[in-house]
Amino acid sequence: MLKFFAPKFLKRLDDRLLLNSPILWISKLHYVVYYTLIMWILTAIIAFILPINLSDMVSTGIYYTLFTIISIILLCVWLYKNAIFNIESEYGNRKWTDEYKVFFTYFLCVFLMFSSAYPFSIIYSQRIANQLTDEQMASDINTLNLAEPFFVSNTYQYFQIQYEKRDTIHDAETDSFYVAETPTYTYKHDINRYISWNKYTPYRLVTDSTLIAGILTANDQEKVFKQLKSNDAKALQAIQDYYSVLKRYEVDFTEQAPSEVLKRYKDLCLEPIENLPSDNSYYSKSTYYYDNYRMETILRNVSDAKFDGLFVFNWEFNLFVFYFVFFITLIFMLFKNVRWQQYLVTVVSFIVIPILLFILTMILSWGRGNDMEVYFMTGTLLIYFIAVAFSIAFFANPTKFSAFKNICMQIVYVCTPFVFLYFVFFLDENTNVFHRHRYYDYDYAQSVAVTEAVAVAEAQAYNMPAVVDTSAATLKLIKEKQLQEAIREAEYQYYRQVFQNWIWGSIAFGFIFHIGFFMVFMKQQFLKMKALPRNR
Amino acid sequence: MHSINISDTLQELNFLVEQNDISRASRKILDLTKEFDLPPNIELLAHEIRAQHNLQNDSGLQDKCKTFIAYITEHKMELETILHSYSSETQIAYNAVGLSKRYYSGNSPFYLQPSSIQLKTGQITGVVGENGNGKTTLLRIIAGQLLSDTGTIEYPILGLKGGDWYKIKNQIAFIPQRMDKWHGTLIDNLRFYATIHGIKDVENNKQVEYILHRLGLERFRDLTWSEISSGYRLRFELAKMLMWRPKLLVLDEPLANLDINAQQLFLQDLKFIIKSVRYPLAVILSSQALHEIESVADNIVFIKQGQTLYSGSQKAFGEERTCNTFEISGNFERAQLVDVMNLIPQSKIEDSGTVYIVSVPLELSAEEFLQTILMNKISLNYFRDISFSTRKLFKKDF
Repeated sequence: MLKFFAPKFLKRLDDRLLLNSPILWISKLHYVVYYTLIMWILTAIIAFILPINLSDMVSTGIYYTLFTIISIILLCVWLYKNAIFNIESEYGNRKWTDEYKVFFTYFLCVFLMFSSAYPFSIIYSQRIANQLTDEQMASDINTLNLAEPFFVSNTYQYFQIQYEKRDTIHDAETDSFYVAETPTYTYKHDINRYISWNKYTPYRLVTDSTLIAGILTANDQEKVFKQLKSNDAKALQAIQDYYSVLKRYEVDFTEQAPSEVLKRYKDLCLEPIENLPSDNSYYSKSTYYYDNYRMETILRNVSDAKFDGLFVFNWEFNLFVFYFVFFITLIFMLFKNVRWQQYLVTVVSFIVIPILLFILTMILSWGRGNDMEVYFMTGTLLIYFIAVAFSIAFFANPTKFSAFKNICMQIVYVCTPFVFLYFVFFLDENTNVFHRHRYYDYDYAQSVAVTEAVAVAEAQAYNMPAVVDTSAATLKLIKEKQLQEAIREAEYQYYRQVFQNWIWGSIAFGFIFHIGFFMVFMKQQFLKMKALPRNR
Repeated sequence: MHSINISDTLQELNFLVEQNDISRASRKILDLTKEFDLPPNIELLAHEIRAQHNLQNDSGLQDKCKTFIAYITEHKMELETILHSYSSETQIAYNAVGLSKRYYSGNSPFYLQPSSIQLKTGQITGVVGENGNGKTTLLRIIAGQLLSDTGTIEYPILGLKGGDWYKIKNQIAFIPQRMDKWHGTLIDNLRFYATIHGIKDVENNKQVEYILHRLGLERFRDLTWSEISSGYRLRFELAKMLMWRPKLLVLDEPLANLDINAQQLFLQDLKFIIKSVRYPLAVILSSQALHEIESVADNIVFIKQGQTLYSGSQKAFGEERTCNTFEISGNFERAQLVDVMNLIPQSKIEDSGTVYIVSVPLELSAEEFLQTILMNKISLNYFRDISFSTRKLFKKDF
């Protein structure tokens, strides 16, 4: 099948590899590269012709899923083709360095097979980014943000604003339990202060407004808005522009006369709430609808495409890909090193042992809550070390085949790249070597006190009545606590960094140790065992 | 001692060509190309002869064979020199003392009693015996598939120490009775096996072409496992193993699925192949086709109920016999035969179902026995002297 669709030069290459490099021939790297290129071209074509719907990116997810399914099918075919020929099962000639060739070839093959979505992502993302010029995007965002405060469209929003104004510790603690007093509804003037000026500004641009020239910051917008609201003609024009943008993006909305919108804004924002008519119909009339989520989504998608960078270049994504590809490569190499019967038992062991261990730790830690995690981690490590002990027993005296030792060796082979990381977590969980870096180790009450202190400071800045005790003694105490907290925070950051370094170190060491030495060493042992005469 | 002698080979080749036995001649010619690395044009000629014969078109092949013979005759001295550069000694490929194995086959216990065996290059050893008597067990132990309970094992020809079984098996070829299915085309598989055993690039191609022609497999080169018959699957297995020139070839019941012609061709090939001086090879095979095996084997191992009743030279078997034994059958009743045998003192009759096995005193030769039978008007249609054959070990009363 593979050969049928392949061009002649590839067949010639295949023959050449068969006669000269059996490892590469078995891996079918040349076919993988060829078909990956075809997949890239196909996905690139799809990315070029796929219609873009900025408000609905779900459809692209279907394509990712499709490409992933194709990759999995290709992987299965590749694994099957690859498993057919095995040099070691036929006791062919081999050098110890062959294992590196095998590892890197398999790794590359698996990676290439899962890379089919890359061109799609790159091209499709670029197409989305090109939907709007930077200037157009900045202009639209500014227009929407500036007119948005005029659309004070319902009492809920109005009351909410009042409520938030009193909720001085809102930023630090969202739980309403910590609101010191119930809202008074007194401070209702100039509610625009509390309206987000960045409603339509994608998060990426909020945090860095320099990404697009011409985009207004919150302060700039507030200043411009003050000019607008003092000039009805300008305000009406702003509302009209707002409508134009919505229409251009084909957003559903209820278009009301700009003058009506402006009138309602004035009624709601310039009059105390007590003076508002009690007639509910007033509010119902003011009900205004449009699909703002759609508008925000459109702008966010374009912004992501322009400024977020592609996920394929994201290190976290690539680390995940590395882990995934490494693991597939590892278990497939293992499959070729042992007989399928023992391999199957090992796979089952990897499912059954954790379940049994979990049940055992549940029984042992019954009524002792947190001990369960400790028992589980200890048990896991214990099993690993038992497997290591039996493996060493074979290394020391490799004269007799033992299915049990073979399974132990397989467990050691699969776990060793990750065991160093696991051991770091184990130490962190059960000892103090990483100086208790976790959040829940901190004085929660003290955190609340600090938050309250910040709230007081904010209240004073806005010339508002304080809702907590502001006596000199309390403030001194708060400052001391703030200092202590700062020191603890610095310590936390330091040890957290140390812990992070250990995590990265153990990950890197695990991979380097496995790839550099262990995989080659274990290969020798597996082959020794595989070649031994059996008892039956 | 050299198995190949140029003068004898030339004489044999001339005879075969004169007799128009192109089948054997073409195989011998092809083997000579491998033995001496003959020039490409001569090698090509040898391949052409064999390929054409395999297509069942022998026209003009006698002349081509003569051309080849002429080349060998012309370069006889050079070839003799090459031949003498190879090691002429027979080497011990495998040496085991006191091998035994005890295991359960289902619920019934089986015990392969201690036996010793030595396999030498240039020799074929046949393992014979009834079904379920331990032939496969013995072969699996020799091939390193099965661990023996007792005894010592050596592979002197491999020069390996420390029980590195991977390296040992790297040089032992084992063809089990039940052959595994293979994937892909026949030629790809052959190339793969040659490559992984270090035969690469141009040499790989040459070796594959040689083995395809040699074993008559070129028609099947692009076929897959399911497209060829079981007889040719066995040929493929043999080709696969001979490809990388192992030092020891272990075959378990290779003749089981072959017709009589295929059996003889297969054994003949084995006999030719083990004569190589350049690539010394020891062969051990088990089979039920006793007479076919005995016709090619240098040594015989007879196993009965796990016990090695005989292990040694095939020619030497029967030298110390106490009676002569014959296999006969024909159009007569048992009573008739009994009457005749009563005339011969100390004679015995055993009815195996299809033939009678009769034992007579050592003094009575086969000719005298036949005369006695014929004089008494017993109509024979089958007679075989098994006095020197392990066939008599199959007798029920043995």
